[in-house]
Amino acid sequence: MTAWLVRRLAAAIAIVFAVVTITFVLIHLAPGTPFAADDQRQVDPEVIARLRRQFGLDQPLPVQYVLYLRNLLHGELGQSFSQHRPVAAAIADAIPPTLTLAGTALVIDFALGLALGLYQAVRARRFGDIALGNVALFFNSMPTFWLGLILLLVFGQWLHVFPVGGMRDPVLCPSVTSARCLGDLLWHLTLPALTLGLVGAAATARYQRAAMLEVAGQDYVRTARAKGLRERRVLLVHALRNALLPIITLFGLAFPFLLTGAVLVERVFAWPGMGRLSVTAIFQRDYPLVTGAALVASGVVVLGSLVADVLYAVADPRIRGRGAGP
Amino acid sequence: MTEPLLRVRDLKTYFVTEQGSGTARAVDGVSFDVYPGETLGVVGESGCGKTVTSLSILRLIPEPPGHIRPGSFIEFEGRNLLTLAPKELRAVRGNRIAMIFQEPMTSLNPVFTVGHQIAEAAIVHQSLSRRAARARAIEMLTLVGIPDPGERVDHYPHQMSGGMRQRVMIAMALICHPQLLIADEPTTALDVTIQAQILELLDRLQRELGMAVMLITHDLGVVAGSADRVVVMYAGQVVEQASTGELFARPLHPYTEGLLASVPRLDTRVSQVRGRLHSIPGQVPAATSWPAGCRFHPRCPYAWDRCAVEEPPLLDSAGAEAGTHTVRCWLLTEPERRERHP
Repeated sequence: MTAWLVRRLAAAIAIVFAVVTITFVLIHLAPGTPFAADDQRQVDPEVIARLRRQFGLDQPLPVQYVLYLRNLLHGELGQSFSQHRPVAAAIADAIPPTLTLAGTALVIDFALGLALGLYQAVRARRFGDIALGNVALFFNSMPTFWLGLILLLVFGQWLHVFPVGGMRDPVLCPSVTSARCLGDLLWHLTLPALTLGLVGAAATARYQRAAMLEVAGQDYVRTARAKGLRERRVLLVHALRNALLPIITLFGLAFPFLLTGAVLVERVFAWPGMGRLSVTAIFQRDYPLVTGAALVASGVVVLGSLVADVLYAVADPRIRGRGAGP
Repeated sequence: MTEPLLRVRDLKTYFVTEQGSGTARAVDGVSFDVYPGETLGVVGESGCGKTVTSLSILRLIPEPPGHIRPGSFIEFEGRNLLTLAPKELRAVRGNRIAMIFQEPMTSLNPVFTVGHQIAEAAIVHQSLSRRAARARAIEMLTLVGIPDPGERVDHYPHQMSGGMRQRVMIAMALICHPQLLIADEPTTALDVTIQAQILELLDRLQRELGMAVMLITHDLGVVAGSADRVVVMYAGQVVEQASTGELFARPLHPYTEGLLASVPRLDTRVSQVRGRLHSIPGQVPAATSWPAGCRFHPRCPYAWDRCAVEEPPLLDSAGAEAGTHTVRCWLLTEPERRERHP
């Protein structure tokens, strides 16, 4: 188990390193530069040249890359061009909102998805199952940003039930300090979290239904019935424990979905998290911020699949026994 | 004669097929008795309805697509199992009637320890505490001959061989000392040497615990070694029923005859088998379309026009006491036709 964990961690570091390298090269190859004159502003070419020198952009790309990696090893993510502050500080501010949103969405995703999938499997091929299956397919096929826009339009613009964007009321609650402001946060959180959570739950329910039906036909489920166990125990203990195994993989895959989904959803709902930060940084050609955000995102994704693998080993004695990951 | 422990009467278990191509009459009017303490062998080819019969007894047929037809009757300890409420049925399953299955590799739940799975029935039926049930599970592992039971009780199924897993299945089935054990091809998936061990184990446990065993198999060798009486099934029906000795000495149904002739024997003269083992021509027809008349007639060497038209009932053998040797064959009414056959 320990050797396996070490191997997995080494692989994780290699993946993050690869993502950082690719992001670094791609964003530098993208057309446009961070410091340039545009239609609105006239900038002295002398100033631009000085800025490029100051941030090391006048160096050849390989040199910049080596310098960036050296700084990274010292825990330095560099200075953001657009935010005029360290990249680490910008990311540190954006992480809590994203964790709040993605965490809530994750809970909705799995709580709702598992419950619905289980219900569908028990009522397989009857009315409830078929109706829910179609609803799930609908949400599963819907792009998150579009669902977000529709929810905004209906509940924000037409019905005025929820706010149309942001994370908190800037006047009454500039930061979470009281119960009332927590309520304000939840009020702002509802639509974006539902957008992400519902689309995720639709996929989870479909997987859970299939996994449960597959397991329900297994010989050991018949054995459990032959023992005289209650149907509830047969399904919720003997079948569900096995049906959850594939869901753990899905749990690992949910991390990247929530992050990429969050990029668009955060943009739609003006949620001040990592997604919005990344998108803005890309538009501004803020090289250090883009690379820094990619570093954090890939770290989270890799960590997610690592957590899923560990959970797998805990849940499945066959893997635990062999001491190896899937 | 003593009262039967289990009486199956006119059992019909049908399946609605997926493509709507009709109803598969997998078990079609099966009747037999199991007496206390005896071993009843149920034999027949694959697809003749043995397994469906055994699953029907504990109502383990998945519904849909399967269903047991009204009019079927399975009496156990004075009650019809087919009309029991779910709670009463659960009190029979695993407690009064237990079952072991063909595939020990897939019949155990991979994510629970064998001890947990064995103890479960004792916790449910005898309200034992977890600790007491675990102690009982270790006792059962000892009883079925698993070495180091105190250690093995915490192992998972994947850590055991096929033979050991079948022993675990037996331990699980017998923990509540059932009156009847249904063993559905318990040795088919095992090596020959392990097969013999498992059958011996079943024999010993039957004697020690005084239970009846319904042994389902396609292997006549297994039946000869273990069963007191035999029921031969073909195409969803019972075609012959007799004591083991009687059946092997005087097989009356052409199907039984064919089955016995297809068992390799050391003492048969080579000239008699003409160098090749006998086989019954053709195969079991599809359960959606059993042949009219006698269901065996398309494969029967003696068949004449009556067999294709009229379905024979179970007839008493002339030489035996009524009900002890019954055969579903028109040859019993016209025995001279058997002699005329080359």
